[in-house]
Amino acid sequence: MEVNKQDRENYLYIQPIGKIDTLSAPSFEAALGEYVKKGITCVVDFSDTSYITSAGLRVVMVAAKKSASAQGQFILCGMNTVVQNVFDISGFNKILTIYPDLTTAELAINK
Amino acid sequence: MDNAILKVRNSVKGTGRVPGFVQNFCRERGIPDSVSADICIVLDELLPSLVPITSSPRIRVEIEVEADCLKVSVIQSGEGYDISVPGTVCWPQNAPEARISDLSLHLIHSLINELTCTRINEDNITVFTKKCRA
Repeated sequence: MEVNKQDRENYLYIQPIGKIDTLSAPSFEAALGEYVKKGITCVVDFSDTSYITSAGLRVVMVAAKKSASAQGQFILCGMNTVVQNVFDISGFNKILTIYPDLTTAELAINK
Repeated sequence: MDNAILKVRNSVKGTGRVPGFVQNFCRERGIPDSVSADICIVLDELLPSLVPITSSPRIRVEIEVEADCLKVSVIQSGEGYDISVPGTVCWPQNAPEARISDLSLHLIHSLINELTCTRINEDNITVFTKKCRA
């Protein structure tokens, strides 16, 4: 898995490319790194993520908690049906901020 | 019979070969990517929990198309467990409790249509099926 990371005007853009599973979850976690701890607004765009397993869900949950502790925003968007289904089944969709696409996520940040 | 077999090293790194194997099998047969992704998720929930309790050097993964279903079998030897029942039964009876999270179990049961676990001699066989065609 590769992670495309870009500093944008008012947020950090993170795009995991490929699958997020047991083997790749540590790379995903490293990509989120210190940013969430510092309270920087992060947008994770899953538009190029084929699927995510519980190993990836744990990384997302830990990052969301760290971000909340630092008064940051942690936003997810662009999920395909497979990824969305995993968030729905796990119930994580109810406790995380998820937008259908990047445009909608950006609008929410700029409000 | 339309099937394929992959034997991987009994290590987390070894099981990393499984998603490519599943995706190639499905792609060659026109099975939707969403189905192969669900199968990969289920295998990623299951295989890492089997690695520490498997005594054989390899874990065998077999995939086949049966009518409108994809059937996946995972065969390993040594200690094992039956995740098809609530609470999970460990084999043999004095084996340590299975190290598979509730979240993993929930995902497995939600993403597949049928699941059976059997133990024959020292071999533990987990079989799950998922509908792959409308």
